[in-house]
This record gives sequence, structure tokens and C-alpha cells, in this order.
Amino acid sequence: MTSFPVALAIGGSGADIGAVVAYITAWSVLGVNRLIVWEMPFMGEDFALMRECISLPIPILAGLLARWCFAGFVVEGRSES
Amino acid sequence: MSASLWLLWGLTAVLAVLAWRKGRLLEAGRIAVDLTRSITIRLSVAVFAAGFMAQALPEIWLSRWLGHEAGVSGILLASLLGMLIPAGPMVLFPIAVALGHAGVGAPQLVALITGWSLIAPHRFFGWELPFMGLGFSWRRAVASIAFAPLAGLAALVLQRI
Repeated sequence: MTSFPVALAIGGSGADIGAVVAYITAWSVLGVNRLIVWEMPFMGEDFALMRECISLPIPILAGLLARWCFAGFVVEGRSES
Repeated sequence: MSASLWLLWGLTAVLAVLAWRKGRLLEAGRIAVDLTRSITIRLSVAVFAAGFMAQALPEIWLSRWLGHEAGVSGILLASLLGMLIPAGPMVLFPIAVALGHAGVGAPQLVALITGWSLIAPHRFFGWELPFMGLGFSWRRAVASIAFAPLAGLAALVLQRI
């Protein structure tokens, strides 16, 4: 869960919404520790690696989509919205 | 033993050596025993609950809505289900395994796990909203929501090649 404070920090340092969305999405969809500790033992290596490979472009595409849809939005944490 | 277990044991051995070199092997062991106690109970309950759930849900219903023949609509439903499971990996993966045994297709499971990864309610409301604020959180959800069914569709295409 350290991912959100880090995301907030990079947003506060000037990263745009696309970069922050890509960062959080990469952590949540591709997180290697969850892959090794949970997904591979439970779902089997073939399934887990197939899902991981399919998901590889998702953070980049989600980041690009966020940048395209919400350009100009400044990531500042809970003070905004 | 599977490759993932070998990998885990290897990592554990390397980390144990690092802890030992810092003179903290005993303390690390104590933390591990405490964690194992609390996790074992929760994980066992989750595994049993998921097993019972797979048996309790009507198989015809599962295969019709989420099985191999459910196709794209099954992928959409699985994505939505994944986004509604308010629990961590300890609960999600036993559920996914149980659904797999009950006849739910691999593309639908990919959509379920990806949907849960992208927008699990416990993480969204418990962590993302408080940290990132509503303005960012809803925008991220909107930008990523379509990728759960798309991942399922990609798995469906791969399966049919």
C-alpha cells in the first residue's frame, strides 16, 4: 500500500495524470510480488504468466487514455476533487 | 514442486541469508511465525468458503453465464464481478480457483482477476480515495475500467488461436 503515497509524491512533483495512472495501474495489475506469492501458486504458472503477458500493455494504455481524456488535471491528492 | 514454489523457496533462502548476516534471523523467524499463525487461519477459511461456494452455486448457471460457451458476455460479467469483490488476494484467488473447478473459462477468469486488480472496492475506497482524492480516483477508474474485459477478450483470442 506504499504505492499510493509514492503516486501522490510523483504527482506532487509534477508528474501528469497519465504517468500517475500508469504507475498505479502497473502496480495493481502487474505487481510481481502478488504474481509470485499468490497468483502462480493458486492459478498455476501457465495461467498466471499468460494473464501477466496479456496485461503488460494495460498500464501504458490506461495512462495514455487518462492523459488524452483528462489533460490538464493536476494530481494533488485529497485536497482537490 | 512447481516452478513458482522453487522461486519462492529460493527467494526465502536468499532473504534468510541476508537476515542472518545482519544478525536478525531469530527476530525474522519470530515475525514469520506470528504472520503464519494469523494468515493460516484466514486463508483456510477463505479456501473452504470458496470450495463450498463452487459446490453451492448451480453448475448450469455458472457454465451458462461464465463458462466457456458464455463468450464475450461471460467476460463482461466476470469483469464486473471482479470489480465487486471487496477482498484481498487471500480471498480472491481461492474464489478464482473454485470458479475454475466449477467450469468457469480461463478468459473469464482473466477478466475477473484483472477487474479485481484494476478496481477492487476495498482498495478503491480504503486506500485510493483517502490518499489520491475523488478527482483523481474516478478519473483513473474511468481510464482503466475497459481493460478488464479487453484482457479477457485477449485471452479468448489466444485460446482460439
